[in-house]
Amino acid sequence: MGRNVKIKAARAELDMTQKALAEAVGVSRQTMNAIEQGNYNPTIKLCRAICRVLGKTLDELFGEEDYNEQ
Amino acid sequence: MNSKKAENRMDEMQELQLLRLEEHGFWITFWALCAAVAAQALAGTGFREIVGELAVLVIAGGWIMVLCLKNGLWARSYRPSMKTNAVCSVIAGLALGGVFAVRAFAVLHKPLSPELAGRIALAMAAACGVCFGVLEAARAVYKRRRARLDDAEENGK
Repeated sequence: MGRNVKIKAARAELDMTQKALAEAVGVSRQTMNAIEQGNYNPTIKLCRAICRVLGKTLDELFGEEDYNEQ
Repeated sequence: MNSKKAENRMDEMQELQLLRLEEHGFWITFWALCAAVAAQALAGTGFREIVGELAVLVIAGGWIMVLCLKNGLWARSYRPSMKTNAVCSVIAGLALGGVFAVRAFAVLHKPLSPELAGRIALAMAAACGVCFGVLEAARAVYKRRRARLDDAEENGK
C-alpha cells in the first residue's frame, strides 16, 4: 500500500495539522499518520469523515490513482 | 451498579490492533496450555491433577468452534473435506498414542506387554474416531450454516 499524499496536500490547503484533522474526525493522531503513510486502510465511514472535514470527494482523496506505490 | 456499557475510547485502527493482539494472546495461551497438559501427562501426573487444564482447553476449543460454525467460518488454509478431517484425526490419534506410549514406557517404566500395547492402540483409535466424528459433524453443520448465510445475503435478509 502506498502513501496517501492527497490527504496531506488537502490538509495543507486548509492549513490543518495532522492532529487537528485527527481530532476533527475522532481518531488518534497515530491512526491518521498510519493512513497518510499507507500503513492502514480506513473504513469507508472514516474515509467519508475525512472527506467531509477536508471538503473533498472520496475519489479525490482515496481514488486509486491517488495512491502512489512506493 | 451502572448498567451502561463503558465507552470505547479506541478508534477503529486501535480496535483492530487490539483485536489482533488479543487473538495472538488467545492462541499462545491455548497452545501453551496444550503443551503444559502434554508435559504433565508425560511426567506421569495423574488425570485428576490435570482435569482443570483439560476443562479450560475443552471450553476454549468448544467456544471457538461453536462461534466459528455460527458465523459460517472454517479454517483459513483448508477447505472442509473428509480427507482433511481424516488426516487431522490420525494426527490427533498418533499424538495421543505417542504421549501414552512415552508415559507408559519411559516415565512409568511399564514392561512392554500385548495388553499395554493393545490399550495404547485402543486409545489411539478412540481418539482418532472421536476426533473424526466431531470434525465430520462440524463439517455438516458448517455446510448447512454456510448455505443459510449465503442464501440470506443473496436475498438481502
